[in-house]
Amino acid sequence: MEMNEPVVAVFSPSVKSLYSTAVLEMLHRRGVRVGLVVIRRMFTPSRVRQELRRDGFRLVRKAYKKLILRERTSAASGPSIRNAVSEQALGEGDLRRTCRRLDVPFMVVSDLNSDPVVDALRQLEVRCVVSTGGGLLREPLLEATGLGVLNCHMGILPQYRGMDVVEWAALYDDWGGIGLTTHLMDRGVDTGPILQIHPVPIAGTSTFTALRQRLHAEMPDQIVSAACGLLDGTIIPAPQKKSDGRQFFIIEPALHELAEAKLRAAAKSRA
Amino acid sequence: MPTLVVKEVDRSSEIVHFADEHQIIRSGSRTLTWERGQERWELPFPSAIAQRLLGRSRMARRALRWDKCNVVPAQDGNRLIVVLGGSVYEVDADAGTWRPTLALRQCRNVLHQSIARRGSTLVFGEYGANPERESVPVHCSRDDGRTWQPVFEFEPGSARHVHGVFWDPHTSTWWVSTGDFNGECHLQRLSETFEPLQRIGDGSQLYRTCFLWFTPTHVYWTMDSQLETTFAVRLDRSTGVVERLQAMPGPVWYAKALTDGVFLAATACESGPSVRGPFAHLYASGDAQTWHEVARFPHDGLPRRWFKAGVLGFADGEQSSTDFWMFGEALRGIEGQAWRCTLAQAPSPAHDPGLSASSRGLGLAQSAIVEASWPGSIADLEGQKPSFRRATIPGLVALTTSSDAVRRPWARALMRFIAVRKDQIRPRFMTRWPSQADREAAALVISVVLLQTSIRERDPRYLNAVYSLDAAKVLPRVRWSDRLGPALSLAPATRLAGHVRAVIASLEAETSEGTWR
Repeated sequence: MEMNEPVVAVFSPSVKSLYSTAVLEMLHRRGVRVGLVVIRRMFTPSRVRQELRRDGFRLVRKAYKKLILRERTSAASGPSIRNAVSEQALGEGDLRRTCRRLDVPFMVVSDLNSDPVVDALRQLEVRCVVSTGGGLLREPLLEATGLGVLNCHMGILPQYRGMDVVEWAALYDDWGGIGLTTHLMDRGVDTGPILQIHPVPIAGTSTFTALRQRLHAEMPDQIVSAACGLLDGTIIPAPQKKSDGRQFFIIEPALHELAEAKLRAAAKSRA
Repeated sequence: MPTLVVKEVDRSSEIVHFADEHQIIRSGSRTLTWERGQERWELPFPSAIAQRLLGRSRMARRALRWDKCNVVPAQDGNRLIVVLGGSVYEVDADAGTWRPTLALRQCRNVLHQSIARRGSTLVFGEYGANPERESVPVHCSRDDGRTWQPVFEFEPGSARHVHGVFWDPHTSTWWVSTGDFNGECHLQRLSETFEPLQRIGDGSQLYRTCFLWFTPTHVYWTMDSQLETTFAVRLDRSTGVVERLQAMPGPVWYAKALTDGVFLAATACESGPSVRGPFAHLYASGDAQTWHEVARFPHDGLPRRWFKAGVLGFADGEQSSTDFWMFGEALRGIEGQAWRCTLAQAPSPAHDPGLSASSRGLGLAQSAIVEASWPGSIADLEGQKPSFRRATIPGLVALTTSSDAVRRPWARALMRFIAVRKDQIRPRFMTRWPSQADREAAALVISVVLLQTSIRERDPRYLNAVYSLDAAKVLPRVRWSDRLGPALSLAPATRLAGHVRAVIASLEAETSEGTWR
């Protein structure tokens, strides 16, 4: 793909997102023209409120893990997005710096669905948005691009929609149900047309933390290859039926524990 | 495939002997209760002083077998035929008199449903320990229990005792099943006038049974053997070929054919190599060939020799799968109680043995809801779009016994509400039900609805929602202080909380052992 071909935008949940940085760098390396990076402000009252409503106390744990324990997870051996980023020299760990280096315009916003973002996408005639997080997107934004907004879901669609689907698949002993699915976003939760499915074998991975790190490490490559395929027409989105799958919600600690015990047993038998 | 729904729990009746749409005969605390239409009789057993004193204790009644008797309603007058303490009585309910009509040779009473009736003819065989293997008589009354004559005798050494006598309407013959040990288990066919016609079986455990079902082409039974693996069995009438159909986890003492073509069988939890685990299992079948486990009840742990094996029994009389009675002995949850039940059609957990324990727990939870006497009205929910905001306690109570089709959309809406509004569960409950008692009742009944759906649809998301309710502290805990009420009994809501928590615990255990797929 040559430069100056269709414009792509990248949505990022924060300036520190390694996933966003990796995606931006990989798109650039593959010659995709990124016309805009939209970064969501890390702390805004509405975001905290929204995420607190969604995650409850788990948000505190999540923030602690992400912000305080970042060094520790990065030091963990085995595949992780941090290791992937450092091995492949994918960006600096600060999205704004990467944008400046690659000469990609960026805007930092409180809400990805805000009018300035929609207007910018329309103005730039963005063909597709590669979303690396930042919350639910509303209809005006979803309709502001030619091809749509891509998302890489950490689960196999259409069976496993929603939250904590790695754990839910394990609870079902559905080891083929773990992986990544790149799809176009629509109004529903993970119900948009599917671009590609990438099952990930659990192999000897015996904890969800490690399994999620493995999946996370593969997400940039998956979403970038799907974006390229969508742009060059080699991947045709396959619509989902609502009845093809179920929406899952945050798993409670007791079931999480049972799922992890199942994962341990499965990993042991596969090791 | 069916699951058990408890409609009524009768804690005062140890046995329901007979029930149909006109009458019900129960016994408990050594008193017979007969209700027929608007009439009701209470008939205390004839008892010695020691029986009157000791008989007040269920434990004593259990240990001394003083709860046991057999009752058949007479066809004319207000009379009952009762087998009790080694005698057969004709009981005049109006006068309250017990007239002995027959002294039994070897036993105090017989197995439930083992007395056959054809018109005014009643027939039964003696069921005693018979250590000397004396001859075993079959008695007949041709005047509806007023007088008795021996009509057949199993020769000495040929049988320990008779398990049951059954009338075969297709060949107009009597069938008598015998037991217990090898060489003693046969099916003896007798003519209408009790002439011996045929002795079927080689005496092995295959022919040891307590109940027979007849079709024009086959005779079906379930084995009652604690010595060999129990099977559902079929005899081809034309060829005489006996076929083992399906293995069961223990000997079947009691079984029943319901009027709508459903068959029930209950395995007993006794001691022996064929008994797989400490449970009595309730099975249902639509054809007497393929059996599905509906519920299981664990033995209550008291020594079986003294305090009985764990047994589920059924009431005689015409009942359907939507309304039948069963009772339990030495089984946790149903010990010394009678339950009026229905079989709800639902995806069965029968193929996953683990999930049945949760189904049993749900049966107990439902019985606690019935006992709590919370009002139930599905009309509250009809025409309403399912949502937490529109749920009412009567509506939720009615949901627990409604069909899957009615319950499913409400369960889904409640589950989604709980999942999406996780941090608002408690405030929403407090707004919706300001009284703590109402709030606890609502949370418990919602939990039962969610657990039912979780089990029937094999979907752990509903179980997850129950955990969320618990985490939000709307689901009451079982408080030890609640156990200190009158007679140390638990309040209904507390008992329900205990059952709900037991179902959660068994689902947890089953999730570790089995799969939800």
